[in-house]
Amino acid sequence: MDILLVEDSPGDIRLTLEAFRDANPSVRLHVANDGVEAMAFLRREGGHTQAPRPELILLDLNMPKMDGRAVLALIKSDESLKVIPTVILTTSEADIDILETYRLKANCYLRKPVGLEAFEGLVKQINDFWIVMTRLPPAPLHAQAP
Amino acid sequence: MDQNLSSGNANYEAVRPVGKKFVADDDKNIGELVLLVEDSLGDVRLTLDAFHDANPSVSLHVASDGVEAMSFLRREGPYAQAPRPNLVLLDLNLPRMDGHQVLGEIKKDGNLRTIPTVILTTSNAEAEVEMCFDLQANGYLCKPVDLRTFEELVRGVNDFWLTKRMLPAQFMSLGSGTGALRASTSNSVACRKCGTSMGLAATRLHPFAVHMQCHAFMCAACNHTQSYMLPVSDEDF
Repeated sequence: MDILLVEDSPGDIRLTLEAFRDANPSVRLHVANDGVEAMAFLRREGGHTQAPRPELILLDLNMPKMDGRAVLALIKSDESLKVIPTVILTTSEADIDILETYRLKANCYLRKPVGLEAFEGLVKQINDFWIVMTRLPPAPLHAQAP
Repeated sequence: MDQNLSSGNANYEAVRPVGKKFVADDDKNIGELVLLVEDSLGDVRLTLDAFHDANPSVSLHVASDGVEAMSFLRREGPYAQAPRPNLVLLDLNLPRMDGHQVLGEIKKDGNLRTIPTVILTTSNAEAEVEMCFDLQANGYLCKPVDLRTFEELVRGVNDFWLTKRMLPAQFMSLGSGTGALRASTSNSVACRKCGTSMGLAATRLHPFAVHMQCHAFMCAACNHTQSYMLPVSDEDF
């Protein structure tokens, strides 16, 4: 199971890695630090020619270079990428962000909880729900990992 | 079964499970509203029961086929007063207009497409899953055969699409009360793995909130790395 985490905060990356290691060691978490890197990973460009196709994308909104809204719009307008469930994971509480990202076809909007245990709990829930319970779409034949 | 479960006519009153009975929801402003598009009465019943356990403030509206679901969402005919649901749970195999068509209509509609729409079906076929995500379903769930898994699934749906506010902060308690927390920053904590006392000279990891920060510690005795939430001292402001 490959998950792409698009996140610029080293603290959140660290916490997410640790929490997934506890929740489900079979998850391979790939990290992109900004939107440009995320798109390169998904399109297998630059240094990412061997990148696997992630089954799930966890996307922060506020990032340098290219923010999460732009990444989401690109993913959801790409025929090959748009079926990958993309879950927004952000500190923003603004209703406008929730509405805007659902309009841009986000699959789910989650607020980063305050507090370590709540964060760990959320990652466990993401694992139980999005990885174990949800049926995720298969990769299209032309997009399978090289 | 309560008569409020019947649908397909003007009696589209929201039903809210109360105990084992379902009552009409008088106050539409309370709780979250879910439109369940489902033709099997047994599954309707199961879903109601599961929501009652997961989140009793949820009101469920039931549409028994796709045509009815779209009338409800567009407030047509007998549904002129229908509320806008916070979530649509959509079965795929439905009479008159099937779930794919309903999903396509919702996601094409500039007003409706921001409503999270989650497929809940018995079909497990890969092609089906792909087609639904292609039509921009927000999630795809297979109806489990056993009751307990079904309840878990509904709880997950509730957590991910209805409970927008995540759980309130569960700080690692280093003492009781704010005063003790602050005082403890100059003291030490016990390693969660081996119990050895660790000093709190830690690297700051990440400002979680204006008043709390996450710190990482490595236990000198067992090398176990762990994180603690600590309050920001006044000098840090």
